[in-house]
Amino acid sequence: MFDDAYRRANEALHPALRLQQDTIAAMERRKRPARRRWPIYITATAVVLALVLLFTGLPGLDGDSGGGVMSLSAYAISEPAYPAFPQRINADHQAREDYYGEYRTYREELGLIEEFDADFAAKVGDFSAETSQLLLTGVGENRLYSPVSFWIALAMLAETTGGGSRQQILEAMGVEDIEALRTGTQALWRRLYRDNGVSATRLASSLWLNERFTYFEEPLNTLSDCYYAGSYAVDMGTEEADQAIAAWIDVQTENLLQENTSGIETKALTALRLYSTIYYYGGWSSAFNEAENTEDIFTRADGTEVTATFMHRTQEASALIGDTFTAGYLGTENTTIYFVLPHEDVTVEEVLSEDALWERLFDREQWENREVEWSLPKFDVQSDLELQETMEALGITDVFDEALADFSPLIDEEALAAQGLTPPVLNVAHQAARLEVDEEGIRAVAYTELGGDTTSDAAPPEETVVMDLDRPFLVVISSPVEGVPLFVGVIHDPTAS
Amino acid sequence: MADPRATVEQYGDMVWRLSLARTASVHDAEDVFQEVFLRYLRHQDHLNGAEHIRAWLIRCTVNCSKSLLTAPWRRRTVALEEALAAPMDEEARAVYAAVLSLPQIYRTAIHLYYYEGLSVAEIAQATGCREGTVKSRLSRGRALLKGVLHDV
Repeated sequence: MFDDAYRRANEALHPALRLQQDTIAAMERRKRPARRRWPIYITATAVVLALVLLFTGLPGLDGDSGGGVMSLSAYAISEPAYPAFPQRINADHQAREDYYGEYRTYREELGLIEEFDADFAAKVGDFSAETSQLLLTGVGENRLYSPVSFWIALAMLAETTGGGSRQQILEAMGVEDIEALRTGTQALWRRLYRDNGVSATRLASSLWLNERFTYFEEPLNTLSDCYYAGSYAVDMGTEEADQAIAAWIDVQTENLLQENTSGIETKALTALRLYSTIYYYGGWSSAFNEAENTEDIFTRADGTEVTATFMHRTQEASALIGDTFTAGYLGTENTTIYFVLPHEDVTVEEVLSEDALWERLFDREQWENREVEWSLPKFDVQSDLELQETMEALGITDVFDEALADFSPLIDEEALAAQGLTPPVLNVAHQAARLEVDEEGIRAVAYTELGGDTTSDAAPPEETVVMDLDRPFLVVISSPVEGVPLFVGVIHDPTAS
Repeated sequence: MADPRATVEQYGDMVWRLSLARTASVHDAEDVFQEVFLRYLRHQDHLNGAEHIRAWLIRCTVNCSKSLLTAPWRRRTVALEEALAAPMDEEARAVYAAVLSLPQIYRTAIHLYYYEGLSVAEIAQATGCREGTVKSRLSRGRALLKGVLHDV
């Protein structure tokens, strides 16, 4: 019998004595009071290594990828300690009460009880709106974008640059100085981070350095302390380095972007690669019934038709009826997902270009209680956006310029010069993302990569609102910070894979 | 506050076996094992009774094995050899190897149902899925195992 055999197999498996003893010792150490950096932390897997300072300066260096099984800890200069978010167990009433109690304590200890800084939220919100319009309009293809991932990546870039390079980034983000950016972004990270076992908004960042170059510790410490970012040193330009970076991203994004990470390639003279990932999952507050799905027509912007699987539901909810669009929302365990359907004679781009779109979308007073009939296509779409043009449109140009790029806070440019190498210039700037919607919930992942080698007042009708998303539409995953979306997507074709 | 040694002795086997089923790697299971008990230390004051602790540990083990840093190109055969180094009869070894060969979501459902004896509802709570999803994963897991074994 299978179950008997499986039971016998498991009964033969025990944790090694060494593992038990190490675990008990670690628990004993944890029980003793110790000076902590933050009130809440989990065991860090930090391995602090001395930076390899050997500098060769030889172009075309061919690294030896070595062999054997790789462990990312082997490359770690420092790894962050994430907050220990309480786990939600719905075993019984007491378990739920316990969870809410732990959650209150968690929020108190991370300073989340106070209202988030409205001015800083407005800056991030403005940045999100501006960059969404720049990145999501244009060709009629699916485009998915995470403003939060891009914001964090740019903030990290600001920490590693100086002079005009840093100043341009600060101005583009609307922040007066690096201290304000650092404090605000740290608070934003803590406000957004969530992982209770039922829903998740997991943020992660890392900086990858060339083990043959000389770097300063201060920005690495700042990134670790304030951005929950890990730092790693690898032999750039080798298959081993590329695989290590891809592995790190794959873990953070649950292997959902392997099509993109498999193409990560560094060069022997790559001086830095900076990554900011975001993973979001939310189950619908009320799941769709798969038995009610239908196969229906979705009409693309160019008028061509595809057949897609549509999920259906009718509910008492709220709707926003504008001159150019109708919007509805669906709730998940942790946030709200907005769907914006342009009117039949309006394009998605025209809606995205409306100045008041975001303000109206996040202002609940403009919404009306209605019965909403949903026809929502299931989809699993991906996009890969180049960011350099957008960064330049925001005024971030120096980091891309060989004569003006300033990475001096991070890398010893005098040491580079002594070896005949030029200071690094940003030449990689893109974001890959994926969005899945099905009967149970919605999942979105993204990573931003930055790298440098030595960038409607018509009166609303009194009738049921029909959200039949059978033509291109916008989807917005909101966050607990008002005006700051986690993800914005334009779905032109739900059947594209 | 419970004694760490007593806690590890009481729940260590359960956490280890689930960690191994989830990760299919002795090295990764060791990381999960230690992480789970360190998290338990922080939450134990909120847990009442053996059943509550057990449910919490199962949930925590499932979650910790999701966010583990690991190298995806690590060969599955290495993990199987390490896990199967333990002494067990041939039938048990074959069944265990077959379960470890399943995708993670099916391994988890199979282990929690057939070894931990959890109900579908309990598995749904532990893994954060709907009961329908658990049922389909059990069904699919059994179907995949039938391709390898003949008495599931």
